[in-house]
Amino acid sequence: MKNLWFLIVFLFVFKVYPQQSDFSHIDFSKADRNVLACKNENLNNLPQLVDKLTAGLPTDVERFKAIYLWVCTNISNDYNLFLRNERKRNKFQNDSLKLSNWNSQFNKTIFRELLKNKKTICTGYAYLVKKMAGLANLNCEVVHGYGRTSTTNIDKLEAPNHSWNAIELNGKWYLCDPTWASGLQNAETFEFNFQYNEGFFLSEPELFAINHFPIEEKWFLENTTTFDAFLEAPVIYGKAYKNLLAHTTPKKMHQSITKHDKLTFEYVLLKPVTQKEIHLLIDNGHHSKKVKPTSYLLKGSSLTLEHQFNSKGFYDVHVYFGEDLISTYTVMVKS
Amino acid sequence: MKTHFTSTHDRFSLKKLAKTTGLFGIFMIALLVSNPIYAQTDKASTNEEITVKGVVKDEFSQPLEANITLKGTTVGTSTDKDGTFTFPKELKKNDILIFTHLGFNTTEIKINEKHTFLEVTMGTEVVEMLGAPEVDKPYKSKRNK
Repeated sequence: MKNLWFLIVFLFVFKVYPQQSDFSHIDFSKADRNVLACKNENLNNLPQLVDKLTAGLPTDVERFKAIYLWVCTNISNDYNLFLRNERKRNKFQNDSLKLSNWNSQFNKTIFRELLKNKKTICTGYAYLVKKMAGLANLNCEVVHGYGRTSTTNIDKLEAPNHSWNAIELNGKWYLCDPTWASGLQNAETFEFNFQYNEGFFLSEPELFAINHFPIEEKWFLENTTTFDAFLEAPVIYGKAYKNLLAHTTPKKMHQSITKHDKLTFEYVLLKPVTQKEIHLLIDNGHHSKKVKPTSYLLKGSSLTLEHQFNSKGFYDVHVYFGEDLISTYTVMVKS
Repeated sequence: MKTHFTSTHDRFSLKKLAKTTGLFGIFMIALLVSNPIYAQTDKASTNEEITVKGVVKDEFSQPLEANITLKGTTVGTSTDKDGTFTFPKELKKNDILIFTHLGFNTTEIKINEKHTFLEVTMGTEVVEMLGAPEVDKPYKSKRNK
């Protein structure tokens, strides 16, 4: 019992971020080479592809990495397919029969598209990762839920819109998002660009939960949040996963303060960032201004920023580390 | 009075116990004796090599172009357009063939002597398709103009 209390106290005092660091001793260069060697492979023979990708890799995490990375860097996101599906799903939202008919019809389209053109939408990524991991005897699951990005209707997400993966390695579950790791969609041209983001591989569950809300509670893996808290959370971007271990404060996207008050931002960093690199982009609806936060404090890996707002108004506040857009908040400044 | 009652009860259950353990003992011995015989037939049949042919279809009996691999190896083949295949390697009893196809449940089949022609039906995998693509476009508040 004494030990248990000790453990509890320990957990509260020292926050540990173990996900990727569980495997910091592993050199993934061999897995990366296998992925490059399979660059032009197609999906006609999955068992053979999985064999090639995992050849000579001794650990499960390397074997999984090779499969996951191949999917992320070889399968592209089909925005038209996404739009078509979203339209129909919204249309049939309250008609379960029509929705399930649409689903089975769309399923066929999806798999044809995946096989022929190596294009899909996010469930396709998650499904393929699971299917290929299964062929390598790895225990991988598809997780369905809500994904929150800057362009989704962020204040009210009505229906599940995203899928990702959970993978069991050495008896412990981890989270990955192959769709978002794969690349970015240009919202204007609908064009997809491959741009692999390592941050979505074995992500920190707490950071992940800011913009991933699983339908099944167990896939939070750690602390669960409520759906309301999820909808109120700040918008974080893909680049946040490259720079942060945790987003601590503010917990809510919409902030309200009085003139000359300070707003505090707190993060736990994955890698050090200098004061010079940090700036805020403050947008009042007419124009945006690049400013330095009023104060910067780095203590170990914890970063605290403060910013004082001196004029009344309503602002979109974007936090940047260098070129990387990390997060957005709205601030109502009253007199 | 009470003790007497218990002792008869004890004696009764002991007898019953002896009877059951006796039966169980005979059963155990029977198992031990018969086991080697099983093992021998097993051994005989594992040496036998089986050429496996077959056809793969979906649930609507349409031929399916699936991949087939021998579990634990890289030996494999694919079905022809009409769904038929001949496995390139002679198989033994208890070998497992894995049938894969995108969008269909992966199916495993254990080979026994009777399995020289396999008729495999693969069921469609029900996947609810969702998709929110990743964007790095900064969030913009909707404002009243």
